[in-house]
Amino acid sequence: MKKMKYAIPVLLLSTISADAVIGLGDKIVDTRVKMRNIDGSMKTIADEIGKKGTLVIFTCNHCPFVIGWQNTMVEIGNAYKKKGVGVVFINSNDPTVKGDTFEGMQKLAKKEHYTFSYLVDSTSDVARHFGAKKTPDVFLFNADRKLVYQGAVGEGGRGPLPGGESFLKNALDELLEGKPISKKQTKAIGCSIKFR
Amino acid sequence: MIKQYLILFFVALPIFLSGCHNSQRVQLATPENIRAHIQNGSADLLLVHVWATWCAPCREEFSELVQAYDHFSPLGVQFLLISTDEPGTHRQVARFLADHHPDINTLIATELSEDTIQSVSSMWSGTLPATFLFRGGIQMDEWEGARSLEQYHAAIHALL
Repeated sequence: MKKMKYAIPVLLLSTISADAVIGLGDKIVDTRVKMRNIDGSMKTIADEIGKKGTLVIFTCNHCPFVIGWQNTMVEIGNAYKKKGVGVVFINSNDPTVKGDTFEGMQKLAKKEHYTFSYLVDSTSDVARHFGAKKTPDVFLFNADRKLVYQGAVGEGGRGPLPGGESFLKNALDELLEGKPISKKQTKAIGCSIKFR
Repeated sequence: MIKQYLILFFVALPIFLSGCHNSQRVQLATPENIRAHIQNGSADLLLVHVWATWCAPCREEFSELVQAYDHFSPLGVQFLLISTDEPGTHRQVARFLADHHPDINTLIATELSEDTIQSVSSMWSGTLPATFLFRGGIQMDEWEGARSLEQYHAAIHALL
């Protein structure tokens, strides 16, 4: 009977974690899943949680939409990491797809000067649990680990539109200023995640 | 000599015309154009497929899509392709289609904006490839990612 008392919450937690697809206001998931970082170490999302918030971007090496937004994503990642936002990029693609190898990830991160983790989602389950479907796909969480913004990096197609709105940057600024996020969800065309 | 030129002319003419025909089947389209195509589809059932020539899963699936077209178009199902290739790659798209099947109406989106996404479907996340089935402008089914010919058959048959 004593064992049952603990079994039920554990079972519930595992169910939530297994089926979760998060929406606005939901807490971040899969924080304890170990993923290989580009420096060879094993990291979790929990290792990257920031005091002011946490930015998770599902990305990859080869998608033309990622390539078009790469500079913007890296600039934002590097800048806001310094401001207390945890930043982590995650690659959930099947590595048998050309260009999405671990070595490819390391090369890209070095070339683009990532100062944050770029992790391998080795089962694609982290993407599934977040509800990420394409690359790039942005998830911004507040200091309470609740999802406050999800969607596109900014306005544009295969890269920023001149004079276009920078959705993610605006959401980050509003988060850091303690303001409500004015645009909580946006959409952009992207490459489907090559789920394993 | 004249005979040789005439032979050359009659060989070249169909090739030239098929190129023109392919180009006519490929048009640039704004979000408003896309909305109009979907709302004003003449057939009872309209299948809209969003793809790109550079998209590997799209290319892998394309022959299945063409087979679905060959099977269902004679039964009155209308097919519309929406390419998210760059507008300047009009010829590349036309060439790709000519290599696979020249007769499917294709639009190339002039912008890859949220408005374009919404013009196709409010349910679409923006993932490529994506396929939608409409009846009278109303969405009846949709899926993201590649599908097999069997899955195309099942989805379309369910609505016929």
